[in-house]
Amino acid sequence: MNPQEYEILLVEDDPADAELTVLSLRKERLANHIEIARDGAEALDFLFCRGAYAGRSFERPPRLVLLDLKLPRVSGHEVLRAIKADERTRAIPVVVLTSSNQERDLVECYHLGVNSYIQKPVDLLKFQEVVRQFGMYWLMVNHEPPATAFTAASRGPQ
Amino acid sequence: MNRALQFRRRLGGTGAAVLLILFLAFFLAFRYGTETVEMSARVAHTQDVLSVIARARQEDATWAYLWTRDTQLPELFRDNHRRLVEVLDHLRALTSDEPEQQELLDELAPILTTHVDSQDQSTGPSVATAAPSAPNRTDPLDIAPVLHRISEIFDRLESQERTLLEQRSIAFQKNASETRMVILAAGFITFSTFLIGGYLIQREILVRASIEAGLRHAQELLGGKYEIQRSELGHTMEDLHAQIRARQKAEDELRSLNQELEKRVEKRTAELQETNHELEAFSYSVSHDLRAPLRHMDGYSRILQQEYGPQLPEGAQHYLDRVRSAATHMSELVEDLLHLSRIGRQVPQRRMVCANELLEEAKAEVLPEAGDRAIHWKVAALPEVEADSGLLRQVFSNLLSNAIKFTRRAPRPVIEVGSRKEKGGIVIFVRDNGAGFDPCFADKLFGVFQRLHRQDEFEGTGIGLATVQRIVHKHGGRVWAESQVGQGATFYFSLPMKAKNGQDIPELIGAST
Repeated sequence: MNPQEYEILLVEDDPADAELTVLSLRKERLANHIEIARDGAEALDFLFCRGAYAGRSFERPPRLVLLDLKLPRVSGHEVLRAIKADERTRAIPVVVLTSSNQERDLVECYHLGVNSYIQKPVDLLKFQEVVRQFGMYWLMVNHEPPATAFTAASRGPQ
Repeated sequence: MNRALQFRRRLGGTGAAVLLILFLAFFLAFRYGTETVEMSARVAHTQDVLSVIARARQEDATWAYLWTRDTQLPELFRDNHRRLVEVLDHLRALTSDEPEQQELLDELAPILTTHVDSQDQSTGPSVATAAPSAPNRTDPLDIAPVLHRISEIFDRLESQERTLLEQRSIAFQKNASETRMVILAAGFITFSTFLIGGYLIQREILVRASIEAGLRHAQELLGGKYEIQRSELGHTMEDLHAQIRARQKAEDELRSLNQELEKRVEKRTAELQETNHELEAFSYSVSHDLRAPLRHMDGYSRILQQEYGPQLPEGAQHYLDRVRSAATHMSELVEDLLHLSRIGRQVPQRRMVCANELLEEAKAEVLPEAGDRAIHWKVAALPEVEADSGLLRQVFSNLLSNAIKFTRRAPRPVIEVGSRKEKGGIVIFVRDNGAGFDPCFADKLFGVFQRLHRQDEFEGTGIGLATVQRIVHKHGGRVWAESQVGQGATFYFSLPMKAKNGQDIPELIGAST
């Protein structure tokens, strides 16, 4: 694994939440490289290699996106829509990690093609357990899409 | 019967009878009068005949001539004889209705004719020769029986006529007296009829006058009453008009009030919709934002304990526990409130569901709360009910969760679930032998945040039973509870059968507590 590769993009505006999530991930030694985007616009710049992230390549996407829904500027829903609407980013697994268990959020996210939806428990022990489980699953159990899933997509539909 | 009509009928009958009687009386009087006139004419006629007979007798020249044969008499005799014949003809005409007289006249006529003819023969030559008349002179002895016979005939004529006169005079007298009687009787009848009629009419007039007086009196009385009533009616009408005006005014007011009310309702509806939107936004925001600080409280307290636990004094550990349990409780409150709010917006999708299945699902869900306590379950066979399966499961899980919680200190916890039929639906109950509650506070049981136990006795948010009530009300049912402190509690809820037209039973007023 290239150490320059970002394993996880965490999109979270709340620094405390971001810290607790990172602490939980680190505790389980699940991610060495975690990029944190503080709002939806920043997340989109990162994913679509533009603005501050113009030097990035589509061919080296994060292995997992942890997405909060309630974000300043561009909401989590719009980020999700943008990711799943573009062939170059569609294959990236997106896990929504949010406080909300509102039905309309669930429905909308699944309609937009989210790969997983997780409500953050208030109890830190439960949260750590949840983080451990999805981290293990997405980063160890699950087969990640091959690099061609992104390069082929960048050449257009087959 | 109507008196006037009765009187008219009686008057008509009496009048007809009176007219008939009067007519008869006058008719009789007229007839008798006419007969009297006729009879008097007959008497006069008979007297005429008698005088004619006398006159005939007086034409005695004939007799003289016959007796004397005096030739000096011819001229006189001729006149005389001619007059006699005329008289006799007259007499014959007069007595044409008396056959006996006619017979006598018939006998007389040839006698006279024979004798006069013979005279003519004898006198003729005498006129021419103016000589001997002696030889032609009739013998007086021959003449005598003829004269005698003539005289006799005349006597008989006269006597018969006299007899007739006498008869007719008697009849006339009789008739005249009868006529008088008839006229008298007619007069009497007429007079008495007038008297009786007059009396009757007089009496009728008197009766009518008294009736009229009575009527006038009654009319006066009635007039007075009428006046009173008319004035009363006038007042009533005025009152009525006033009432009508008042009613119209009230109606106008009502209409304007209604319009205002409609406007208010529209405004209120708009406000409500806005509030609903706000509420939804609020609950969305709560769902997203209210949990984060709680998570941080719990998270950082936990990390503090994990990372620096050994260095912290005992008291600090305890305070951190308090912070964490407060965060957990707050999180449960938020969770339950969001749940209640979600149920409030939800429209139940009712269909026939097996209550026992839902009960078992709920039981499996809440059983972990019992821990390792052994609970004796007595679950009866429940009927199929018409309900929203998710919501009914929620009702069961809330009630069973409560039952598990409040039997915590019972030595042999028993939880019983059963049902009974009720008019128009079914009642399901959940009974436990747990702590129970004071029935004085039974009405507070189902209010949001209402709790009957201290938090250190039995923890809870005070939202569970409010949620149960809201769900049951949404199904058109009721919820209530019976208990005594320390004697366990029984929670009942009813589920009516769905209305036949397929529409949901409207949520009861006040259901959204």
